Amino acid sequence: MLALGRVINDFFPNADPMMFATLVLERDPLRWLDVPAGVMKWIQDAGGFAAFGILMYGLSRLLPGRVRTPSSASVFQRTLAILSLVVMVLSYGAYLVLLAPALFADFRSMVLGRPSSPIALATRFNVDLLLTAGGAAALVVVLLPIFFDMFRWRFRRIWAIARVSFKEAIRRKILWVFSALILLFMFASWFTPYKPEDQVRNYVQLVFTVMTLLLLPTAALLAAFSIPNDLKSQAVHTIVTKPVERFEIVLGRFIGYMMLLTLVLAVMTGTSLLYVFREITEEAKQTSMRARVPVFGRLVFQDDRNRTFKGVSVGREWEYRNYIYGGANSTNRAAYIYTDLPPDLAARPLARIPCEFSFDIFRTLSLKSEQGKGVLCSFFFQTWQWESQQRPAYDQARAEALRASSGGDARAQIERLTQQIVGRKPTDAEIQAFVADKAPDALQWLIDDLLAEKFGFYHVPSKVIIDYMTQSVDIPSGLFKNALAGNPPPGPEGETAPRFGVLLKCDSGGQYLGFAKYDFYLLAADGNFALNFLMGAVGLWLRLAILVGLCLVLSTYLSGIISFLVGMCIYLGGFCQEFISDLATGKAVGGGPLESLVRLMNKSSLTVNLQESPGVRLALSTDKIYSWVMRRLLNMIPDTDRLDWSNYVSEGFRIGPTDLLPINALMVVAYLIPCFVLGYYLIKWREIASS
Amino acid sequence: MAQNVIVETRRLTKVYRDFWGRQKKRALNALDLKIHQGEIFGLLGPNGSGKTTTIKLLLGLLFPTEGEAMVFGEPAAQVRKNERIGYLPEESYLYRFLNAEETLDFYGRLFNMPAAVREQRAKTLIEMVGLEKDKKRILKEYSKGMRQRIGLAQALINDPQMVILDEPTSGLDPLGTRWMKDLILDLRKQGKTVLMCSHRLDDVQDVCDRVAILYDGELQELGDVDQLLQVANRVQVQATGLSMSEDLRRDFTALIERYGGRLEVFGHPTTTLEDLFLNIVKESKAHPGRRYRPPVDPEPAEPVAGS
Repeated sequence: MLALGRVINDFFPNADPMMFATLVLERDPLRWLDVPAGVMKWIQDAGGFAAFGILMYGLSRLLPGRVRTPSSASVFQRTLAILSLVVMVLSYGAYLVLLAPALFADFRSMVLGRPSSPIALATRFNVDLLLTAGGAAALVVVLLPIFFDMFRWRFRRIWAIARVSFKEAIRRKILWVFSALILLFMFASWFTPYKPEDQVRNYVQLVFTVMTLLLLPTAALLAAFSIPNDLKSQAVHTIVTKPVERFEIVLGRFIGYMMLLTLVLAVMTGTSLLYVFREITEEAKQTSMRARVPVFGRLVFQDDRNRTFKGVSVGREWEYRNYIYGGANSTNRAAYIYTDLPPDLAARPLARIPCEFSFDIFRTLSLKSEQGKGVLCSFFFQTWQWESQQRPAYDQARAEALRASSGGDARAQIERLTQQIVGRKPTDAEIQAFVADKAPDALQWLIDDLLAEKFGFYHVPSKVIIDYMTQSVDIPSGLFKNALAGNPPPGPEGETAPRFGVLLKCDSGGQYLGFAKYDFYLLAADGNFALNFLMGAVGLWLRLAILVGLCLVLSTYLSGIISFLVGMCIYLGGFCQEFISDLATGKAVGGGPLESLVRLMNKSSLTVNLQESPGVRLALSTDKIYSWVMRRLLNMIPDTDRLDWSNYVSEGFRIGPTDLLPINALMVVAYLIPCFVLGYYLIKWREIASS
Repeated sequence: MAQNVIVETRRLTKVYRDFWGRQKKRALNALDLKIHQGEIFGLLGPNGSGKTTTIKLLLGLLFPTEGEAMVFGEPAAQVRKNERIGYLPEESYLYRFLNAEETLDFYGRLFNMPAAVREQRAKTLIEMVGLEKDKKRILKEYSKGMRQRIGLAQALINDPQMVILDEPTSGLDPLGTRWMKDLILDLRKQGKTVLMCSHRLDDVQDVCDRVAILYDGELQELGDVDQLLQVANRVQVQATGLSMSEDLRRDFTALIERYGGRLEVFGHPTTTLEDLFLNIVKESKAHPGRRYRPPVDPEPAEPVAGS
């Protein structure tokens, strides 16, 4: 038990061992459910860029005296391309035609100031479908040459270029940069706060930060300068006059640098892991070095008198959590509900399934008598089969079981109780589990488990909640047997009804309890910390892949230093993505740039509605166009924030190898494909020898 | 000489433009050219006359503004033609951090050669260009001549049917120049086509079968070297085993006048400085420590062109 944990346990004798681990996820992680919609959106967006590229290419052909770019298309390929082009033009044309009346109405309302009557010519569905079709056709046009080129790519050539890139970096002694890591290992512990509760978090964050800071700029420099250097030194002349497809150079460079960086990252991760293991005390290791497999639910708030209750805002600037008011008379409730549950939870005989949580306390009552006291919270775990009218029956069954439980050996007890409560014979596994359970409350646990299996209900009254702590309650696996038996009837609109949920109620009058979606989870399993650490490094690897790809592609057209700067800017743009996205989607308070300007001029507050006038209408419409442009720009910025998994590692949550990892890897691929397509054309059409 | 056309340009034009598409320079204007199999073709001209532009257009390093450049019957921008081409750039810009063996291995891989073939080719070529001793040194440490040698080796790695040489003798010492010229002649013997550009006229004269002379992007002259250089109204006689005397001169004058001619020059021919230098080197190698003495009976140096 940790030092601080001991102190707290002196105050609260019933409290659990303390941890500080909290996974704060301000954005929902991507799920497999999001993938189909994501793919559709990708086709629309990437296709839009492709169509733009085609348009630009067509226009440039019209200009006199432009460089004629080489083409090696067969008749078949040309036919395919022309067909796709026709589909693209038709789709986008139809889209514009359908949208034109609405645009016109918008324009008229802007000029005349009359509200536009919505014209229902284009249903949303049609328009979306047209956009997707047009995008897909544009993508086909753009990807066809690459596809046919691909038959001429040879691994041996790509590999040769990859090897040379690798050798170059090593022989130019670029790897010396990474010896800076040694400095960290030598001196970092002087500056790292030595509190056992924070150790794992601090050290993990530290090594990940340093690895990121060392690797990212190096990767960007390597990638950005390689092709421009070859062009400058004309080494590329002897390469492209060999039977090398130009894009093989980009691919080879990419593979070479990724090989190098993978190697470096592996070594760094290995040594960092050893370092973390060495520096962290035994105490901290036991409590914090974990890789929990959480099962998160959906958070909803309820209130008897207010159907649209979404929780109380206590006025904190960080709007991560919402609050419920405590006290006996309060009808505020928070609930985490689950429509899906991992089936293995029900398969564990008589198991105690830990539920971990870290809720926030907001005190409005700070009397002397209240100080140092925790806030109480009651947990009602229930499945879809449970109805609150069953409560008396549940209580009675429990009392009877407790009365009937004494006497006989363990085997006899479990057989009798199982028969009595659920009306069946216990399985061998259950008998074994019960016989092996030497805990003082084993018998009571058995009864609770059986009752949970029968009724689908379990109750933890008045648990002491402590701020900033990850606490835990155990719930019987019988609950999940009940929850997973049969299927709940679908909801009124045909949606899947939840199978299981926990209703939370704050028992302390005058205090608020705050909840966020990721504050509560069922602990399905515990993974390996070291493995999780490696997974965290994979996240860094994915970010490196984005950066290397980006810089390489830019460097097929731009000079080294410019590619480096632009690449870094785009990459770092990922950190302000949220802000840009707010601007792009019009969520930013105070509106877009022109609206903000109008507000500044009129000295009107951010939230006040602006007075209608032609000027204001013009500003608002211009902001619409601006936000459209911003949305397109947003597409170019990689969502690198999603790939920073160091908080998972440091807080001890497993990085899902079947969801988080592959979905995000998919996202990286989705980003890199358009990137490389651009690179393909840039290098193919480049006149290598013109300075 | 077979009449297979290897390279053909039709009204090949290249205009350099700036970013905004404004014309900067017309580097090559409507060049019509045919190069046949098995000949050594020289592109001549002062700096900036469009020699290198032509070569870069033929290699696909630049794209033509107008006209066509066909190599082996295909547009020059096609990658496929590179299978049969070897290219030695003006300066061999190779990766300086590789050694000779690695360099050739790298270029062998670019031709998708299997390991055994690569190894064998690299060995032969390193021997041929005389770099066995230095094959493990990285190219950064090489002299200009050595770099030109490894550059030539990489150009020949695929046993090409056509070799394009951009200023092959620039920066080489007379020994290296001679070696390069012999090698070029040797390539022709193997049936390869050679396209070279140079502004060292003596080299071109020594090796080329046909030349094109460019000036300011325009083709000025095109034809066989022998024909272009032949001075049709002069006759040259050379003989050995004679000593100069007034009698000989008189007899010759009479003989020539009998045929209606007029004697212009009578005397010892001069050799070229190149031949003198090469002789000195040869002699010094044969007799170390002895000062060079010109041969008593000066023989004409063996002709370079082997004609």
